[in-house]
Amino acid sequence: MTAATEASKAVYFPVRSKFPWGQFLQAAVVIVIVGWVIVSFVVSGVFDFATVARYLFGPQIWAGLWGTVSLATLSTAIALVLGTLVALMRISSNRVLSGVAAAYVFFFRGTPMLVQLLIWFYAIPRMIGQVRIGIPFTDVVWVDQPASVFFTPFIAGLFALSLAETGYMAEVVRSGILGVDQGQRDAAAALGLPRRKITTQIVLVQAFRIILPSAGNQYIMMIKNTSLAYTIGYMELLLTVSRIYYSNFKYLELLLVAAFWYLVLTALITFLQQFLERRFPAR
Amino acid sequence: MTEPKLKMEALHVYKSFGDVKVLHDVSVRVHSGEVVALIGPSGAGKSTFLRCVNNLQPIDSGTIEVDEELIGYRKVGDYLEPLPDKEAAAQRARIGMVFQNFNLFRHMTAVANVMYGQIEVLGRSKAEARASAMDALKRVGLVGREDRFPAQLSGGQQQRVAIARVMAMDPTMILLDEPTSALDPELRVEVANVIKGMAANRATMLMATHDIPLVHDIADYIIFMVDGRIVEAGSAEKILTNPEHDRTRSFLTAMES
Repeated sequence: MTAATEASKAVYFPVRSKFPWGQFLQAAVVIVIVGWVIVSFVVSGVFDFATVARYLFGPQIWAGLWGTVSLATLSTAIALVLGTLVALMRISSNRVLSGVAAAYVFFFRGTPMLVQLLIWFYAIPRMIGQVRIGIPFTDVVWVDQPASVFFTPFIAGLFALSLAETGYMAEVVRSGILGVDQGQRDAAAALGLPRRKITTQIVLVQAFRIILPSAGNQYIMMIKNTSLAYTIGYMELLLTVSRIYYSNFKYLELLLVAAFWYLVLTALITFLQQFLERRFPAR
Repeated sequence: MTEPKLKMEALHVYKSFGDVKVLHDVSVRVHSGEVVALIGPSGAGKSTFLRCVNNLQPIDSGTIEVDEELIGYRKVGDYLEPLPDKEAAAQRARIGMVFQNFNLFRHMTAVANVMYGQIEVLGRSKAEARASAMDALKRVGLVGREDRFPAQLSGGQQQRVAIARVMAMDPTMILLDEPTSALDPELRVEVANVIKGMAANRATMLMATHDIPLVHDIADYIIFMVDGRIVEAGSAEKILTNPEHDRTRSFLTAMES
């Protein structure tokens, strides 16, 4: 009888891990660098932390915060709707529709948001002159005023940011639509569903789940892009803190306040995105 | 015994993808309660033909009729013009289709998959649709799994849900596109048994397949295709035991080995 078959003498060779010196060294280097940055931040005295604390939850901040959140949220929501339409046009077999959609994406994605913002605020109102919104051929008129009055910083910002974002969102949605298996369409068509229902109830539903992480990304970008509306005098976070630092010259402290709130908003959206991803698991 | 009623008749169907002729003068008849098997090497045009029968793909010329109604087109003079989407969809609703890759709706549970077409296409109430969905799931042996999502089911179970989805629509005939090809041997048997049950219930079926044992068990009639053409067609017994063409014989020999 050989040794290997004797249970009493059996050796089971458990695996033992070695101390990970390499990882340990990498972590140590990173900690030293990060620590050095933080310490020199505080020790340098560039920041007066008492001022930061004073304005962090100051009443003026809330107005700016609301300005940022409302503009970013509305713009992203509009861009999601319009972007879906542009994406559907883009994949249409109608060459005119797909050509127009491609051109839209090219122009609105290819020019800086800041430039578009300035055009909406300074150029478009002069081109239009008078803004009339109502039901044609009836007496119903909701808006009838000079364009220079109608295009407030908020309205101009909303047009500029939502239409620019539509260009990005169209590509995000299109990638989602392309990610839906052709077999899903075949199965729905074979059941006798008309084209419109296949698109809305099968393709888009699955596409939206696919693009959830990218859409969250776009929303976060938009939160920070609203700071561009600072240039046309829209009351958002950056303009709010700049008004304060122009009066007390505490530039860095107030920029730190703004940065803090952008981080908070980003964290909230990340949380919302993770909640939705869990609520609608990928199948 | 009287001749069974003609269910599907395809006459002189031609179709090309660019320069490639995928269907060349294909004519097929399926009678009520009959099982017709389309066999042949990959790329023979079996799947394409099935997809043409319920108008998932357009054809270049020829006619396909189901229950004496022209599928996907209407005659205008000497030409065929495509039907509007709504009418084409209504025709597809009467023809069931089972796919090689199951194609269950991934965002719906098993029972929701089976209910969906009944509600959206047949206009049944939720309660009605659920009752017949559960009945169909029972027939394919999947009661207790109705709330699972496709990703939580095995391939064989997914294909059985897909078959239930078709059965619940009460189709006039069923097209099966290699229903057992994507399954390992054990799962193949459970799906094959469900299909045998359907054949025993006199469902009219047109099936493209490489599954010769299944063809042997249920096919009344066999059509052998190569390169978009029908090489040989005849009763299942004749084709399986005494094929006329060498090409058919060599194919069947290769499939048995």
